[in-house]
Formats: sequence, structure tokens, C-alpha cells
Amino acid sequence: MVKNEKVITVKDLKKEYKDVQALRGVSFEVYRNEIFGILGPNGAGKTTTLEIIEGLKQQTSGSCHVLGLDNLSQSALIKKKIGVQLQSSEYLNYLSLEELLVLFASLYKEKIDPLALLKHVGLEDRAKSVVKSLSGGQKQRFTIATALVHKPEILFLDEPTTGLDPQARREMWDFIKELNKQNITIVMTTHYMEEAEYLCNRVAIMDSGKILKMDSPEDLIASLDRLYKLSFFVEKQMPKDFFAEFKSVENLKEEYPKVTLDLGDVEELPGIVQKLKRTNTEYKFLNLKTAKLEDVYLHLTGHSYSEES
Amino acid sequence: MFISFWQLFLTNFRMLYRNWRGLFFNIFLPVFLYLAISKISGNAPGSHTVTYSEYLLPGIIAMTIMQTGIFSLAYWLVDLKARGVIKRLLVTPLSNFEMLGSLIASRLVLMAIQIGLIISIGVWYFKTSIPGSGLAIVLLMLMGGAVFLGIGFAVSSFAKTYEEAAPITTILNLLFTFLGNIFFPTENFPTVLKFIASKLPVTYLAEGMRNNFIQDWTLKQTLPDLLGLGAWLLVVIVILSYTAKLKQD
Repeated sequence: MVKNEKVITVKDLKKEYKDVQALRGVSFEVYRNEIFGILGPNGAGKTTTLEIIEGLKQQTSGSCHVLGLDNLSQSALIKKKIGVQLQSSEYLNYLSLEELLVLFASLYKEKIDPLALLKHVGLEDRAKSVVKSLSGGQKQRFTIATALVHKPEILFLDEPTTGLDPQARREMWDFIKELNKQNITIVMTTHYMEEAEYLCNRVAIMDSGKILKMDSPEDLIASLDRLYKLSFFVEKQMPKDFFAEFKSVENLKEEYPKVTLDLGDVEELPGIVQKLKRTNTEYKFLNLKTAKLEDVYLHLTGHSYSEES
Repeated sequence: MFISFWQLFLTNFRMLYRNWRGLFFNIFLPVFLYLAISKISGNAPGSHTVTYSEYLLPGIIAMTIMQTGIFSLAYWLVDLKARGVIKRLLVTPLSNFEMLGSLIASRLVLMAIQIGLIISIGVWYFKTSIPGSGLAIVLLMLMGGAVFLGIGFAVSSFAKTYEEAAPITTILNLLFTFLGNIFFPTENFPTVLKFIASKLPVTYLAEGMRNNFIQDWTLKQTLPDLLGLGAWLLVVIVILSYTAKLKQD
């Protein structure tokens, strides 16, 4: 993607609490009109990073600029230009969706047509409802609507699909892509690998308060030596040196009856299948998968990714 | 600034009148208490000329201001903080002044409605007259409202949840109701208790109003009670300057 103007610059951000170092020197940039993702397990520091940029917390050291404005001294100005969807959003009781949108717009000194905005997020028929009566997906869409009342330049989404069923998640992905097409820069956190791969132009992989690597999902995956994962089931234990002649095989795991391995050169796959047949090794459920961000995470951290860290 | 302040004020007010449980405790209960206790009682303690309904009226008003200020604001803010609503508001350009100002303004309006209702019942039903200074009464109510709203905010600064706020508000409520000269005078209490009672903000409020409701006191005569409330307001402001914060870092 062509790199446009930098809208967010974060340099060596650190955040320390009494006995915890939540951020250990985080640096990245976000470009205009991209969808930038911060991917990592729970406790990686994703939300803390976002909350510092949004002005909810202050960093211990390091700098952060949003649209050229400093997050510490110009936080009030930043807030006028950004929209925020927090990880969990609750609202004032006894107010309808319409009334809440009018309220949020007033906080930005704006007047809006709440029905038009509700229509934009597919909730026009729930204008008189209260938030409690909405489904998970509807609530997330409404939360994003409250962040759009003032037409922000940058939208922050903190785990926008957590708790949603697969269909609602897919719908939310499409919705986020639509927002981005309207020239809104989106910064989002997620702990779902698939979500980051599908949505983001660039992804920063984060763990234990540090960014491990940052690039487009495709380039992160391409940076791996082992791009393919082969797995299959066998009827009997395989000979010890079965794969010795296949030079690109690595990380072989034989957990009978399942066999998994990383294959650096996909051209060797026919040779492996022929040898299985030649040696009368019965096999089934042969599966070849391309590497994913999860493999990138494993390569960077040495441990497998768990969405519940 | 006005658009957001006005919307917040409207919002706070909507939330107050749409919450029927809150309406019960804020409006119905004080009115019922006043009516019920006045109906079954005779004269005021130690008096042959003053009826108990005349004695009780300023006490009930003081109690209403006290409870609205402490319970309404404390629990409200604790609930909003615990659920993350305050956090959601803090990512907007909303200033602390607008947020707190609208909270306080809406509750002062609620207090005005409560007091107006109770006084109307006193004047029209129990034929109570108010010979003292109307200005003194209004000033007492405003100062009292400010003090107890400040106390309510201070409670919400200490307590993160309902469970933490409940013991604090209960103790304050018991202390002020029992020693605040609301339902009965504390003249015959033991010396220490009498001294404590005389310095409580609710006592300044209740007794200050009582002197104007039952006797024809002037603003000048009411000054000591106003100064007492003023001193308490100062104490509350000092406490809040150290403890008050809406966001946690």
C-alpha cells in the first residue's frame, strides 16, 4: 500500500505500574486511511497502548502524537478528532439509542440527525430502544455509531468483535471495511489472528508489552522460512527416518496417529505422498495449509498463541 | 459549552424521573413520612404552641436535601464508574466542569421539586405559616444542597463499588438522621453527643430553617447557621481537592 501522511506517531512508549511494566518501549506509526491492527494475546498491552493514545492514561515515558498533536499537552484537541470504541462500553440507563446519540453529538458540540446515523449502522428500527435490549452485534454497531457522531478522522476500535458469534463477526468485519472506504483511518486491537489477516493493511504483533514485528499480514507470513504445514493421519507408526531425504521438512511431530510437519518447499509434497504409497503406509485426511499469523507469532515468541493468555 | 451542558442536564433529569425506584425514594417517601408522622403526632417536643407538623417540616426538608445529596450522587457516580460509563464519556472532549456541573444542577432542580412539594403540603394541608426570612431559607437550602452533594461526590471518590459505598452512606445517614435535629431535638442528649450534634451540617440546616419556619427570624439572625454550612462547604472542597478524580490511571 502506498504510504500516505502519518497520522499517529508513537515513540518508545513505556507504562509502568507499581510492580508491572505494561509497556516496554512501544514504537509505531499509522498512516492515513489504513486499517492498522495491534494483534496479541490478552495482557499483551494492546488496550493500554490505545488508552494512552486516546488520552485515558498517561505514559510513564515516551512520546505520542496524533495528527501532529501531543497526547499529553493537547489531549482535549485530539479527542475532538478521534472516535473511540472501548473494549466494553456501557451507557447511561433509561435513555433510548436516539437520545444517546444526540447526547454524544452534543459532547462534540455537534447536532446530528440520529435516525440517519442509526440507519448507517443498520439500527434505524431500534431508535426508541435502550441499549440493554440490543444483541451483542447490535450493541457493537451502536457503540461504533456513538464514535462516529462527529465524523472523526481516526477511529479506535478495541477488540470490536469479542463476544460475537461467527456471523456477527463477519458482518462487523464488512462494516469496518466500509467505514475505512469512507476515508476513516482505523486503529484496532484484536486477539483474533484471522481478523487481523482479513482486515488489516498492517499488523503489529505485540506480546508482553513490546511490539515484536510489524508489517502487512502477507509480508509477515512471507518472512517465515516455513510457509506450509502438512498434516495427516496414519494407520501405524512410521519408520524413524522416513522424512530424512526431504530437506525442507522441519518441526516434525509424530503424535500417533497424527503427523504434522512444516514444509519449506511445497514441491516436495508429491515426493512425500509417493513415498507413503510406496511404503504401503496407509494415510488419510492429508491436509496442506499455508502458514498464518499464528505461525509468525510462534516463530517470534517460541510459544504457541493462545487467545486467552 | 452550553449545548453539551444542557444535554447533560436534560439527560441527568431524564434518568431521575424515568427511574421509578428513585422517584419512590426521592419523592414519595419523604412526602409520606411527613404526612404520616405529622398526622399521628400532637405538639412539638417541649412546646404547647407549636404543632409537631410545624416542627417536623424543616427537619424533613433537611433530611431530604441530605439524602438526595449523599445517596443520589454517591451511588450514581459509583455506578457510572463501576460500569465504565464515565470512561466512555472521558474519551470525548467533555470537561470535568460540564460533567459535574450538570450532575449538580440536575440534583438541585430535583431538590427544589422535592422541597416545593413538601412545603406545599405543609402550607396548604397543615396550615403551616413561614414567618421568618424567605431569603435565609433559600440560602440555607442552596448551601445545604452544595454541602451534601459535595459529601456525595467525596463518597464516590472513596468507593469503587456499591458494596464499598453502602457502609459509608449508611453510617452518614444514621449519624445525620439520629443527631441532626430532624425528628426530635438533641437538647437532652449526653454532653458529648449534644456537642457533636450541634456541629453537624444537617443540624445547621435543620435548625436554621426551623428558626425561620416557626419564628420570625431574620437573615442576620440566621447568619451563624449559614456560616456553619459555609465552613462545612470549605471542608468538603478541601477533601475533594485531594480525593476527587473521575479517571483511574
